[in-house]
Amino acid sequence: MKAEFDKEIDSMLRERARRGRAASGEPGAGVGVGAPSAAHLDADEQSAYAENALPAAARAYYAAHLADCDDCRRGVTQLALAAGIAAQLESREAATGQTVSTPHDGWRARLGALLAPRAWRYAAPALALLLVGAVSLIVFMRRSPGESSIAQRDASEMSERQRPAAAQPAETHHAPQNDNNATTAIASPDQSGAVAPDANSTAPNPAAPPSKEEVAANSERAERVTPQLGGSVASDSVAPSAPAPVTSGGATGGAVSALPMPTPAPVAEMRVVTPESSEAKTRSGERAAELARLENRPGELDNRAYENRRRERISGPQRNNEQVRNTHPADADDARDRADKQDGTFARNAPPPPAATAAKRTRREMDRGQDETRPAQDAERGEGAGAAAETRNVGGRKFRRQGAAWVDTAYRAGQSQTIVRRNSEQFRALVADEPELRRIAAALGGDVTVVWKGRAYRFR
Amino acid sequence: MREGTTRLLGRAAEARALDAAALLPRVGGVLEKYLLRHRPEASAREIAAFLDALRADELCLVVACERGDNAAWSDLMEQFRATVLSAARGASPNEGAAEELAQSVWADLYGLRARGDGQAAGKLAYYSGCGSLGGWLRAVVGQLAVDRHRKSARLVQTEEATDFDRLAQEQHEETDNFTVAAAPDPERALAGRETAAALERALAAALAALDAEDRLLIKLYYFDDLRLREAGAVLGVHEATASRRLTRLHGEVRKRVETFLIAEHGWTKQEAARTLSDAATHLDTDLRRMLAGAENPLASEQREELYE
Repeated sequence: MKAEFDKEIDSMLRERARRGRAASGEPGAGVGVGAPSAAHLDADEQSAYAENALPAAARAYYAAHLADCDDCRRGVTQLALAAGIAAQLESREAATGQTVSTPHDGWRARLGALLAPRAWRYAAPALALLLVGAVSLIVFMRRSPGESSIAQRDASEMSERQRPAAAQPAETHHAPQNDNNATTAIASPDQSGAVAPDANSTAPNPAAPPSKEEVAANSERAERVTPQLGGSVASDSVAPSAPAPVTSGGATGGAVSALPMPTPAPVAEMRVVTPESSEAKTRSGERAAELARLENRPGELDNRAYENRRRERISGPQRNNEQVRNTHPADADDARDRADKQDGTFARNAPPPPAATAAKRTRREMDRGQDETRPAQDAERGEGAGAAAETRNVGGRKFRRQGAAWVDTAYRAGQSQTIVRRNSEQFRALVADEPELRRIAAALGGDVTVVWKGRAYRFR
Repeated sequence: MREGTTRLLGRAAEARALDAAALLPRVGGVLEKYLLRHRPEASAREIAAFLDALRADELCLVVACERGDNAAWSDLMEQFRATVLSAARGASPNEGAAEELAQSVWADLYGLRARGDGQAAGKLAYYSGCGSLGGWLRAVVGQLAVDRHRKSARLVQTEEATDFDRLAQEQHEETDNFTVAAAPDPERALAGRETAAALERALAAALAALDAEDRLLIKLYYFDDLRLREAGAVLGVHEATASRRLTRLHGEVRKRVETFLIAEHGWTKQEAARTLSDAATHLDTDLRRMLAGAENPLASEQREELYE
């Protein structure tokens, strides 16, 4: 093996050795750099050195002598060659697959071993795989996180709302669905200090049902809250047990005070997103943007105008089981418990800033593209500030009072319905065929929506 | 140490009726010679590792021979007769001389000669068990052959040898003067001689500053004309390792030479590098001239190495 020597130094060393050999007349005699450091090595020392059987310190000691003593060096060389040390070293290297090295090899030997093709044979594919994985992760994370996350969140919210609605019996009393029954308000830490501390104080024990005093106190505080909605408002008024009313409150500032403030319902739910909830922060940011958009369009802030626009899109009364509102304290507590388990941190009993509720409703309707319940419309019918929601069982069917109308709980929002006027020929023919419908219409009176054999009829 | 000696006896396939007390003086001497003398602060773990590396069977065989165990002697001669004869043949000019040398070795081993205190001066007392017994016997044969050669050389100092030394000295002087004679300008010749002397001193200082094993490798490769495989075997490293180490040494020597020239002669780094380059080129030219003339007995070897 011929290494890439330094040609100049190599030539100088050869010349120096040649002169030494010529001067002494012996092939092995060089120009020494000094006298031998000690007495000559005995036979045992020579053989032990040649067989590499000495401890490191002793070996270094004898090496110093061998470097200066030609006779001993010649003897050791002959012993090493006779013992076949070179062949042993080669076989050892072949067995281990590595070059035998000593500490004198230094960092170059270690670096050479690290960069050897033998090592890279396995390292290169692993690194390539790691690189591909990292690039894939980056591409995945950069792929429109906004839309996808909103869609996923809405889907999860839908499932959250449907789950408790399906699990909860419907024989509860319905609260009148008007503006006064706003159920959700969000108090964020960067809102006015009157709300945030209260909300945070309730957060540690979200599952505990509020007492009547708490409800009343929170309602009063909520009325005092100026709805200066910050970026962290995360209204989730359509919580599993909340009917998601469209409040009539204004959006911000003095406009709110000029409007009739909603009266808190006996049982109101308020969800507060605490700072440690990242999901809530995301929601609050989006909703803040939505609110900012609404604030820039004052016309939309007018609650009545908003109601009118909503009413134009309404195609039917609210029939959604997911929006059953519990007025019974126990049921309300159950609903809150379920909501707490699903959403993490909550604070309760603070009335919602009307603009937040309105903005939230608007966003949801736009996102889902579906008609939901129309609490505002029903509220107008009910005219009942403080009127309690009712359900009645007639003919084995459950009806929920929405304002002046009774709506079958089986009715789904957006379901097509056939309007049948009482005392009309069509009505008489229908009840003749289906006597049960006559009994329902007679028992409830007024505006009744009933789902019968898969079709929805509205008796007026 | 006693525990190590006991373990050594336990490792031996045939203890030859030896006990720890019989081995303890020998083991203590070996430990002092090869470990504690060079590393007095050696830990108990190092001592145990050293003792466990001793060749138990061969050490027991030798100690048993020293104690007059005839069976051990028979075993020793049976196992190593061929080894001793082979080593003697390598150190002797003919078969008869080899036989005589081998017999002398066995006599020395047995201790036919008496020491000053009347005890037998057997060479077996010097075997430590660190290396193999066969290697030690080869070394004994080699040393005895050298001793014999030196004795005969002192008795027969021929005139031819004196003439050879004189001729070698003249050749050396001619070689040294060749560089000067090649320079056409006396002033340049003087400058060249001073430069060559400075380089010579710098190179000697650089070699002297190297570590012992590095200096040994330089000696084995350049001065003893060993190949890298052979030089590596002496150092106990593979050929590739020896090659890498030699390449590193070139860099170290260059750096030390340049540093010496800068410090001692006030040269700049560029001047030192240029001088090294010029000297190497000039040396190469001289070697080519010598190789072309084929007058130097080393010419064939140099050609082989240079154009390898």
